[in-house]
Amino acid sequence: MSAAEPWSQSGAPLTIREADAGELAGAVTAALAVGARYLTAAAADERAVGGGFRLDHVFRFPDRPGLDVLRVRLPADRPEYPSLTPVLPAVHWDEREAQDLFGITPLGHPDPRRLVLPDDWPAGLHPLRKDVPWNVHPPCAAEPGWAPRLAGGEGVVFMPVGPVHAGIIESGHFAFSLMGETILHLDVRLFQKHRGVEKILEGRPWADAGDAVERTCAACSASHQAAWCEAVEQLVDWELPARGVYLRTILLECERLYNHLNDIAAIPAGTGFAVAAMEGSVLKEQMLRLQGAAFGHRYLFGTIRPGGVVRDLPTDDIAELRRRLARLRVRLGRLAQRMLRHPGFVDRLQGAGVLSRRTALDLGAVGPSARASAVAQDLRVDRPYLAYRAFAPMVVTEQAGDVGARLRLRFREAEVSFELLDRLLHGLPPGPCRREAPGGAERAEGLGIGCNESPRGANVHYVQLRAGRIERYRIRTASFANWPLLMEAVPGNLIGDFPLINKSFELCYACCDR
Amino acid sequence: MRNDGPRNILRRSLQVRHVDAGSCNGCESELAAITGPVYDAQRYGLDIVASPRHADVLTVSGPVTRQMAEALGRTHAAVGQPRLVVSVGDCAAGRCPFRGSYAAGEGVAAVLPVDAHIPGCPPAPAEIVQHLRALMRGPGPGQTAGQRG
Repeated sequence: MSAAEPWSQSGAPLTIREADAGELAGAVTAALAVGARYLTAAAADERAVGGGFRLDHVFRFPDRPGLDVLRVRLPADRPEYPSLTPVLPAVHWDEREAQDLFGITPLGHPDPRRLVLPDDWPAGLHPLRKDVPWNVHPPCAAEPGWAPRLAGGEGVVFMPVGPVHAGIIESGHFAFSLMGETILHLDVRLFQKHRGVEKILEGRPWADAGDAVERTCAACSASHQAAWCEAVEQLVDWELPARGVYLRTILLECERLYNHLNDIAAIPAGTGFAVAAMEGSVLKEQMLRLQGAAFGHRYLFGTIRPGGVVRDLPTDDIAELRRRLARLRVRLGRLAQRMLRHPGFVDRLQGAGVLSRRTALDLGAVGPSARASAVAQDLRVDRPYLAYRAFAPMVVTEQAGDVGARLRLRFREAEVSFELLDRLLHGLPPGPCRREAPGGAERAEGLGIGCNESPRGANVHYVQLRAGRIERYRIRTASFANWPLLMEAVPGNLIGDFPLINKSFELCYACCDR
Repeated sequence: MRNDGPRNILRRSLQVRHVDAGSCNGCESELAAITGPVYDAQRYGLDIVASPRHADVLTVSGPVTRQMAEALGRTHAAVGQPRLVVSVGDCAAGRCPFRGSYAAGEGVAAVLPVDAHIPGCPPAPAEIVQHLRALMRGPGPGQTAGQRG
């Protein structure tokens, strides 16, 4: 693209197709057969506007630039449909979530337990229905009473862990079934950090969503901001200035880089390889400081807003930024050698927490966790957006699907990000970094879907606007997609390796729970 | 003053247990950095401990979600006396974009007695260390500023 060329987010329209509830499974099977990739599902309550419930499933077809929405309408008095999980296992948590939050029943779901709401929450109270106030506070029971699924048999020991963990770790509850030191089965109860992000956003003008959207998750904050902006920009046909496109891409790549540095430090920490963990955490801190100095916030809050980016990079800063990134790159290269040539360390990672390619595909794994199991998918390349249209990164894959593969993958991807950042900074076009909203934007209507490849994989924001206000907002993050993989990857491993395996997937609780 | 006792006793060392009560993970990322090689809070007698039984201070981040309220209360009860509670980050002080929703609470002070607050979104590691050190330096009963540890 040329430097002066304006940039439109709206080049790839949504195609909405309606189906009956009974036809849904068939339509999804047909889509999957031609290589469609499932991105997100979103329920909505349309009873106040004369409808019932609406259930959308969003796919990307390999031969089309836009996204496809498969829409089913369900009656207000009997919101139920045959579960899609048997034909598309990746939706199993989406279906449980819609059952909790909207009271939409997926008939025949293999595991219809509560997912998001606590076990002491009153039956029949579905907080994302429009007739339930945003601040409803039903009384809590003293014992929430979760009954985990455990392995049975003589000598099997049940080990509960959490929701408060021993380190500085987010909150979530794990139930291990152990035979000796070997994990037979793991059940998890997440959503301890559920904050009602989507409900809070309803009714707000689209322009006022930023503070909540960016705090869905600090670790993927730029990705969340960019997905929200893309959805809005599509809806109002908002063209970005070329410099804004580049800077937004730079922010997204910086975010990937510091997250990968964090994970590279966390994996040796899980094996007691303290020297490598310390060096990794120094590199992460340097990246956070670089971000604080260049973009005004260590975690990039408040950097991306509809129309471009908030803060420009002064020309003098660009050269300094490139120098600092080059120094970090050299240091990371040395750390990679030190870690990957340490036989004891590498031995510990080999064969730990294996995720097979088949399971990754079946459960809809995304991001580094998918790519380390030989699934070559990356939205930066598969559905190019922002400056990735001109600077397609190399999609890195590993074959083994174990902790070692996920670590090596992050080293290699960090290298790609360094390269990409240098090229973007070098080629940063002149001009404004943000453009004013087009006329009528404050009354925007319709459905916009923003998605990008966060450090953890596909992050999809589904934004329905009515008269400029948010009617429905659903966020499906990479961690939401990938948490179920952990339950598949740990059985057969030693309990002592669990923290290591968990860190290698780098699942975020905050953006899963929302 | 309620805090005089613990502050006087805890002058030389502060063992910290943290509970994430619904943060965005920003406060955790910064808290985890304080014991790393860059900030090295252990040199001041500060450390993060695995069990509330070993802790002098409970740090809490997030607005206190409905699902974490019970676990937070039990963790607090498990911290031996004397103990301090420090809220970390703006959400914990009730300035949370999700405050009051069906799933989120009103901040830590709504459920526990809070002795000190570390502001910021998130507070930087150096600020966290500075605030925790100030807790250790607080004057006890009968002390003057010159006697601070």
